[in-house]
Amino acid sequence: MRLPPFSQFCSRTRIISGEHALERLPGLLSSMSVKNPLLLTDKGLEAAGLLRLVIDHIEKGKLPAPLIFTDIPPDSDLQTVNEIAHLYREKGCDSIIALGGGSVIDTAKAVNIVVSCAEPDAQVLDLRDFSGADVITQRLLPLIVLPTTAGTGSEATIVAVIKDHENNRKMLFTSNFLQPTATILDPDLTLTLPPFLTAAVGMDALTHAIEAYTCLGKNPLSDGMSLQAIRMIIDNLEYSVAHPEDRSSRLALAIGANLAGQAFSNSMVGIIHTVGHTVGSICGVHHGLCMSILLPYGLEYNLHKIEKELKELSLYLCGEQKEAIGTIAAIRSLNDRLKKATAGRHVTRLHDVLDRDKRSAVRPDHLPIIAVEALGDGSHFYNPEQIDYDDILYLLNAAYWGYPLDRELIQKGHE
Amino acid sequence: MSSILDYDFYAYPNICSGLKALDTIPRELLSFQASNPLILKYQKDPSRLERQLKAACCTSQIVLGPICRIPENLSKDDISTIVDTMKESSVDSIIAMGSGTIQSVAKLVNSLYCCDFALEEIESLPCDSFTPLPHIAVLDERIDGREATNRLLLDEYRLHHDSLYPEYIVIDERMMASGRDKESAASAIISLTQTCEAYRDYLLTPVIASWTKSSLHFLGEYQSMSTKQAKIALINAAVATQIAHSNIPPGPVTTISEMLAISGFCSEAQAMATLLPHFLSQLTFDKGSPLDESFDEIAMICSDVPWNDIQQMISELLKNYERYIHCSKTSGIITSLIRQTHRLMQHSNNTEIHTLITDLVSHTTSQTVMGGEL
Repeated sequence: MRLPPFSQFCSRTRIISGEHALERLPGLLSSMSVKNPLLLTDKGLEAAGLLRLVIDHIEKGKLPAPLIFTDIPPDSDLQTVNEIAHLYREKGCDSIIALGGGSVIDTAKAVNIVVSCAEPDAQVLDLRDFSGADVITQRLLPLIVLPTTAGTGSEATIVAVIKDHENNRKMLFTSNFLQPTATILDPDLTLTLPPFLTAAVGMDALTHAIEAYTCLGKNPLSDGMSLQAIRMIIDNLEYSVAHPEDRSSRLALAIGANLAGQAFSNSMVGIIHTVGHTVGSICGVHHGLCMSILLPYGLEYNLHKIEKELKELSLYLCGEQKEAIGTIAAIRSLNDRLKKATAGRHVTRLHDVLDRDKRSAVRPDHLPIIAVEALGDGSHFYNPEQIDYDDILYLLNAAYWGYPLDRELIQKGHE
Repeated sequence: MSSILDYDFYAYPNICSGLKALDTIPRELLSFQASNPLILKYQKDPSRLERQLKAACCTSQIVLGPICRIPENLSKDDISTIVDTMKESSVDSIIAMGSGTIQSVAKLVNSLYCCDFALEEIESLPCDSFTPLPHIAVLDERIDGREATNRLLLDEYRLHHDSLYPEYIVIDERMMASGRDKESAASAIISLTQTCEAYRDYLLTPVIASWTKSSLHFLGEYQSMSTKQAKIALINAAVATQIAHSNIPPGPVTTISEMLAISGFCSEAQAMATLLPHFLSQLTFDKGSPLDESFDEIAMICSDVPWNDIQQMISELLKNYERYIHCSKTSGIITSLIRQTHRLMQHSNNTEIHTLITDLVSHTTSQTVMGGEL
C-alpha cells in the first residue's frame, strides 16, 4: 500500500459501547447540559418495547421524560422532517435523540440541519437548500444516536438521505457536521431484530467495510477501521443469526457496523452500492439483502483492479491467506450458510427475492431499467473500474440467475 | 464484568493529509465561522511557512490575525503576552504551525483565553467542558506524542481535558524541513511506544485496535519510503496512535519517560527508546493470543514492505533512533535513567512500572542497551 496523494478523515462521534451502555444515556445528556431533548423513533420500535426501555433509562437518571415523535416512515421524507422541525421549535427543544435504523437516523440528521441552520426568528427553512456536498458550514446541535440495527452505520457517517416526494427524488446531504455528537451501542437495542434481518444488515455492514477497503477513496485510517469491522462481523454474524438472544455477539456486530460506517464515510463505496441503491429504489428490495446478493458480483467485476486487497482480506474471510478469488468464494459460502440458517429467507439471487405478496420483487424486465438508473448514482465515482450500461446489465443478469461473472465478458478493464 | 466490547471512545479531530492540505485551512475556518485566526509558530522556523499559509488564504475572505513567534525557551510572560494579544485582537480561532511545544502552547492559551483565567489559575480549570476556539494544528515531524490528543505538557503545566482536542489536523509536506532526521527518528520512537502501549492495553477495544493498526501501517510506510513522503507517513502514524493512546491510561513507558523528561534528565524519546525493549520483552506473544494474532495480521498485510515481521520493524526503528545518539552520551543517559527510576520506584504503586524498572536495572547492569556500551 502506498499513501494516497490526499486524504481526509473525520469521525468526531463519541462512541459509548457495551452491555448496559444505555445506562450511560442520562449522564451523557447531563454532560452536554441538555435539558429538553426531542426523541425520534418509529412505531415498530415503540411496539417492540425499545422506546419504553430508553425512557426508563432516562427517568432512572432523574431526568424529565423527553418529547417523543414516533411517526417516522420507513423512507425518511421532507414533509416529516419539516413537521418534526416545527415541533422542535414550538416546544423549545435543545437536542435530538434518534432511536432507530437508517431512516430514523437520517431524519434526525435532517431535522438537525433545519433547526441548527435557521436564524432564530426564521419561520421557514427549506431543507432542499442544504442538499449536496459540504453545503452545511456550521456545527449542528447535539444529536445522540441509539442504533437499533447493526448494519447501516449511519450513526457514524457524514451522510443523510431524504426523499423529496414533490420532485420525486432522493436528496443526498454530505457534511462532516452531520456526524452525530455521540452514539450508544447497546445489545439490548438490537436483540429484537429477527435472524433474516440480522443476516441482511450484517452483510450490509460487511459490504461497507469491504468496499471501503477496495475503492479509490481508501486510506490507511479507513483501512484500519475496515479490517477491524470485517473481523468483528465475520466472527459474530453467523452466531448472532443462530443465537439471536446472545448479547455479546449482538454487541460485536453493532461495533463492527459502526467501524464499517466510519470507514466508508471516509473512503466512500463503489459499484455494489451503485447497483444496490437502484435495485432497492425500483424494486423495493431491502438494502441489506441487495448488498449481500450483489457483494460477490461487484468484487468479481473489480477483480483485476483489487486483487491485492482481496488477497489481504482473505486472512479475515477465509482464516488464512489465499488468492483473491478465495475471498469471493468465502463470501458466497457465507451467504449460503446464512440462507440455510434463516430457512431460505436470506436469498442469494435477485430472482429469488419475494415481495410482500410472495411474488418476484425483481423481474427480468426490471434489469435494463436498473442498469440505466444505476449510471446516475454517484456511488460509482470511487469504484476502481469504470462502469457502463452493458457491463451493469451483465452484472445484474449474473446476480439475477446466480452465475459467476466472467471477467472476459466485461467490457471495461480491457482497454 | 468489563470486556473489550465495553468502552467509551472520545471524539477526535478531523485529519487532512497530503498535497496541498494547507490549502484546506480557509475552507475549514469558514466552516467554524471564523475569519480572524491567531497564528502560532516557532520563532526559528522559516517565514516561508507564514507566506504559504497567507497564499492558501488569499483567495478566501480570511485575513490572518496576529502572528506570535514562540521562542525556544518560553517564559510565563510569553504565555501571558500571547493571551493579551488574543484579547486585543479578538481572535476567533488558532492556527498552530509545528509539532510539539507549539501545540501545547495553543491548547494552553486557548484554555486561558476561553475561561478568562490567569496562568496561575490553570490548575483550577473547570472540570466540565468549556467551548474552546477552533484549534487547527498544522503538524511537522517534531512530534511529542500529544498533538492530536486532549493533553498538554509545558514545563510544569500538565493538563488533560476533553476540550483540548484540536479541531482540525493538517499534514502537508510543505511543513517538512529537509533535515531533522534526528527529530523524525525520535518521533517514530514516541509513536511506536504509544502504539505498543495501546496494543497491550488490558482491554484492546476494537476501535483502539483499528487506530493502532493504521498507525502500524503508516510506520511501515515510513520505513520503506524516503524524504518528505516518509515524514508524511510518520506524522500520520503519530496522529493515529495518539488518538488511540489518548483513550487509554498512559502505559508505564510513557509515564516514566514523561517524568524523566520533566526532570530534565533526557528527552522523552531517549527514555522511551531505552525502556521500550524491556517493556516489549515482558509481552507474551503466545501463539494464538489476541496480541500475537494482531501482530501477525499486520505482518501479513504489510508483506510488500522489506520487513515481514512486526517485531523486526520495532527493532529497525530502535536501531534507526540509535544512529542519532552517541554511545558515550547513551551510557550517561542510561545511568541517569537507572538512578531516576530507582527513585521513582519508591514513590510508585504501579506494579507494571515496578516490573519494568526491575527488568531494566537487571539488564543494564551487565548488558548492552540499544547497542551502547555501558
